[in-house]
Amino acid sequence: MDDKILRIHDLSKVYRSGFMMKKLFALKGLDLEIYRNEIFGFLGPNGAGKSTTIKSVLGLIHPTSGDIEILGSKVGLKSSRAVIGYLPENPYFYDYLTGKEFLLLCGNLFKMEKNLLKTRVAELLTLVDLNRYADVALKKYSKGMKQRIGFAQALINDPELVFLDEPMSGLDPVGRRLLRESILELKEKGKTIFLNSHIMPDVEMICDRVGILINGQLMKIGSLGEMLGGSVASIELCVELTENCLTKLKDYSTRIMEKENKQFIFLDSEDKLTEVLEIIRTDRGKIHSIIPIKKTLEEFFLEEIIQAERNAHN
Amino acid sequence: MSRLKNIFLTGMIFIILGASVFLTSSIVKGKTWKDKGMMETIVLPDSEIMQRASLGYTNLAADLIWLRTIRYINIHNKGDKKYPELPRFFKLITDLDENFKDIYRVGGEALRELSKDPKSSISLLEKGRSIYPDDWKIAYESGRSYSLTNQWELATKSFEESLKMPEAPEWIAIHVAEGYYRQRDYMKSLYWWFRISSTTNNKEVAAMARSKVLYLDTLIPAIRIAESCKLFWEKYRRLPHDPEELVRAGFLDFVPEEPFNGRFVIDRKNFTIESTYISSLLLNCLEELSAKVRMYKDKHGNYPVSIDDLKNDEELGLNFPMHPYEGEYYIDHSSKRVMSTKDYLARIEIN
Amino acid sequence: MRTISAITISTFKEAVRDKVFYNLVIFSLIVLASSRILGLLSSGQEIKIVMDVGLGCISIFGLIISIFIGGNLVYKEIERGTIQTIIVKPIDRHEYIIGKYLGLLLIIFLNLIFMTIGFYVILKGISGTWNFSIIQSIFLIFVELMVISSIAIMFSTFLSPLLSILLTFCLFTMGHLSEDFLFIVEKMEGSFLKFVSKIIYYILPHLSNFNIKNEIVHGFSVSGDYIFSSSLYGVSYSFATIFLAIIIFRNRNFK
Repeated sequence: MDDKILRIHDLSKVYRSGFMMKKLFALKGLDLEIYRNEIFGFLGPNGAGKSTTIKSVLGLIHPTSGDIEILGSKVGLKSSRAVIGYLPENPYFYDYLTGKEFLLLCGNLFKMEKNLLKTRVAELLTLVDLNRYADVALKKYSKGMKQRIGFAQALINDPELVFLDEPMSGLDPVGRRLLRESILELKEKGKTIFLNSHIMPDVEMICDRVGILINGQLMKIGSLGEMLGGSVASIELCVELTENCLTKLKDYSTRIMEKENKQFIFLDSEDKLTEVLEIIRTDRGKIHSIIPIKKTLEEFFLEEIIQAERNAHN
Repeated sequence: MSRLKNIFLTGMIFIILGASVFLTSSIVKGKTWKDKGMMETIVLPDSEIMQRASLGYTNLAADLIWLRTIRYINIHNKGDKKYPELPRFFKLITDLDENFKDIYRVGGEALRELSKDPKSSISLLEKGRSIYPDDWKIAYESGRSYSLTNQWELATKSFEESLKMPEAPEWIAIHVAEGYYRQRDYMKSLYWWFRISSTTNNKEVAAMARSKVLYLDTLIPAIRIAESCKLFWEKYRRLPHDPEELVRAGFLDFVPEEPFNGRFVIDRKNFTIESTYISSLLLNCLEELSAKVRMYKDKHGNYPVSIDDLKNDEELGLNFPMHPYEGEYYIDHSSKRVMSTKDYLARIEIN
Repeated sequence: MRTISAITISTFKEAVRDKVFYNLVIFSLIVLASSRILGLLSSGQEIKIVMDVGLGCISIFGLIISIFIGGNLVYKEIERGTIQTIIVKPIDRHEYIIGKYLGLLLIIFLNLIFMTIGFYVILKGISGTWNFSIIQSIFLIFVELMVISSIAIMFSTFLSPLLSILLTFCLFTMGHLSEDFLFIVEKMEGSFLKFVSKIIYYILPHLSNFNIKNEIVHGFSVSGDYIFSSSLYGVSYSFATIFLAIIIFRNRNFK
C-alpha cells in the first residue's frame, strides 16, 4: 500500500511583478512527500512560500510547473479535493449565515448524504463547543469562535488529509491546548495533518516530521528527533561557589547568574564541562544540578535562516 | 433620571429645530422668482439630448417635464400671464413621448389661448394628428387654431374630418358650416346648416340653424344678382332698375325666387341688394327691441347702455330675435332706439 | 446540481439578510407610493404617471440591485478570503460562478415580486386597468436585469467593486444608446476603425430591445414573437457573459 498520501514534485510558482514584469520565484522546484498518518509541520519565515505551497495543493493557485498528487489523484481534479479538509489563515466566512447553516453548506458541497450530514454537523458543533452559537450569525462570532467553526468545516467530510494554515493564531493558551489535543485525536483516528505554523513550541509538541522552507526552497526536512536530537545547546549548572572560584570560571562560561545563595553557570558546549567540574571540585564547591539544554526548534530554525542568508550573499 | 433628561433634551432640540424651520419657511413661502429678484431661467434640455439621456425612461421624463409645465403655467397664471416658453415645453414632451395623446389636445389649446401662439399650436396639433389620425379632439382643436389664423380652408377641412371620427359630437358640424361661410362657399355652408337643422335634437341649435338657412337661402341669390349688376354696370355704366331688367339684358337667366315670397330689390343709391321680406323682418326686430328698451327703462329706471344689458335681463332677454342679416344690433343713444349695423344682403362691388 | 443550488441558496440568504436589501425594498415601495401623489399634481394624467413611475421604479431598483450587489458579489469573497473555504471543496469553478449568478437572479426576482405587488395595489387604487401586457413589460425588465447582472458578475471576478460598478453602469448606458452608436459607426471613415467599431457594436448589449414600457403605458400590445425573440437574445447574451466570467475565474489565483 502506498503510504505516501501527498506527493509534490518539482513545484514552482513564478510571479511577474512591476512594470518590467520582473520574475519573482515564490517556489523553486519544491519536492515534498507526506506520509499517511503523520503530523507534518511546515515552517518558514513570512514570504517563504508556505501558503503558496498549500494553496497550490488545494487548487487555489495554479502552479507554474510541477506535479502534485493526493492519494494518487492529480490535483486539479475534483476527486482530489473530496478527501481533504482546509482551515485557512484568518478564516472569514459569510456574515449572515449561522454557524449551522455554514456547516450544512460545506457538507452540501461534498454532496454528503442528508442525514449523515445532519449528524456530522451536530457532532462537529459539539467537538468545537459551539452548540450554543449554532444559530447565531457568523458576523457575531469572535475571532476564536471563527477559528473553531473553521476547524469544524475542515472536518465536515471526515477527510484523510487535513491542511491547517496557522491554526493557532488568535487562540488563547486554553484554545491552543484544545486544538493540539484535537489534532492528536485526529492522528489517532488515522488522519494525516499538514500544519503551517509560526509557533514553534506547539509544532515541537505535536509534529512527527518538520520541513523548513526558506525563499521558496526546502532547506531541511526530517523528524524532530533527527534535526534536534543529539545536539546540546548549552549546559546549566546550579552551584554554590566561593567568589574566588567564580572568578576562575568566568573564562569558561557564557553567563553567570546569582539567585538567593545559588549561582547558575551556563556553558555553551559539553567539552568545557570536564574542566569546569575539575575547577569546582578543587575548590570544594557545591553542585546542586547539571542540566543539558537541548536546542529548541526555534533556535534551530533561526540558525537555518541565518545560514540561508549567508549562502545567499555568497 | 439621566435617561429622562436625555429624552427631554432631545425633544427640546427637535422642537427648536422644527420651530426655526417652520418660521423661516413662512418667510420664503409664496415668494415667486420675481420676489427673489432673479430672472426666471428655464433650463430645458435639448430634446435630442434628453431623449438619449433618458436611457429608455423617456415616458417618465415626459411625465416629469409635464409636471414642470403645469407648474410653469400656474406661476405665470398668477403673475404676468405671459407664457413665452410654453411651445418649447410641449415640443419636448411630445418628442420624448410622442404617444402622449392628451398633451396634443391640451397643448394645442394652451398654446392658442394662453401663449396666443396659434402657429405653435397648429404644428403641435398636426404632429398629434399624424400619430392619432382618428382622435376627433385633436382634429377639432387644430380646426380651432386654423380658424384663429383665418386659414378657413384648412380649418373647415379639419372640422369636417373630425366629425367623421369615432365618438365625435354632432355640434362640430356648426364649425363646419361656419367655416364654409367664412370661406364664402355659401352653397356648402347652406348645405351644412340645413343638415344641422334637420338632424339636431337641441332646440336652440335648431333655431339658430334654421335662421342661418333662411339667411343663406336669401343671400345666395342676392349675391348672384349683385354679381350680375356689376357686369351690367361695366357694360352700361348704370345700375338696372330691377332684377327683371337684368334678365331682359341677358345677365340673368331668370329672376331668382325670394324664398319668402318677397322680392329682391336693387338699391341704386346704396349699391346694395335687399330682400323685401328680410327688410321688413329686420324692421320688426328693431321695433321689438326698441320696445324692450323702453320696458327696460320702466323696469330699471335708466336706459340700457348696450344690447348685452338687455340680453342679460331675465325677463327681457327671453325671445331675443336673431339678426337676420348677420349684422349686429346696437342702441343709438340719442334716439334711444335699437339700430342695426348691417341692413342689406349683398353689396355690389364696383371698383 | 446540488453544489450549484447550495451556492445559490447561500448567496440568496447572504443578500436577503443584509439590512441594505431590506432598506432598498422599503425605499422602493415608498417611491412607488409617492407616484400616487405625483399623479394628483398631473392634472388628469394620474394613470399614466402611476404606470410610468411604477414601471420605472421596478426597472431602476432592479438595476441598482443588479449593479451594486452583482459588482460586489465575487470580489468581496475573494478579498476577504471567504472564497478559500468554498473553492477547495470538490466544486468546479464554473459551478461556483453559476451558483452565484442564480443566487443574484433570485434576489432580483424577489425584489421584482414585491414591487409588482405594490404596483398592482397602487394601480388598482386609482382604478387603473391591470392587463397582461404589464406582466410582459416586467418580464422583459427581468431579462434586461439578467443581462446587466451577468455583466456585473463578470467584472467582479477580476475588478474591484468600484470599477465593476462603474463599468457595468457604462455598459448599461452604452447599451441603451447602441442604436446611436451604430449611426455614428455607419458614418465613420477609415475601414479599420469602422471594422473595430462594428465589432464593439455587436458586443454591446442592445438593451433598448427590452424596453417596451412606452408601448405598454399607451395601451399598445406587443406581439408574442417580439417577446420571445428579445428574451432569446437576452438569455444568450447572459450565457455568453457568464461563460466569459467562468473563463476569467478559472484562471484566477487566490493568494
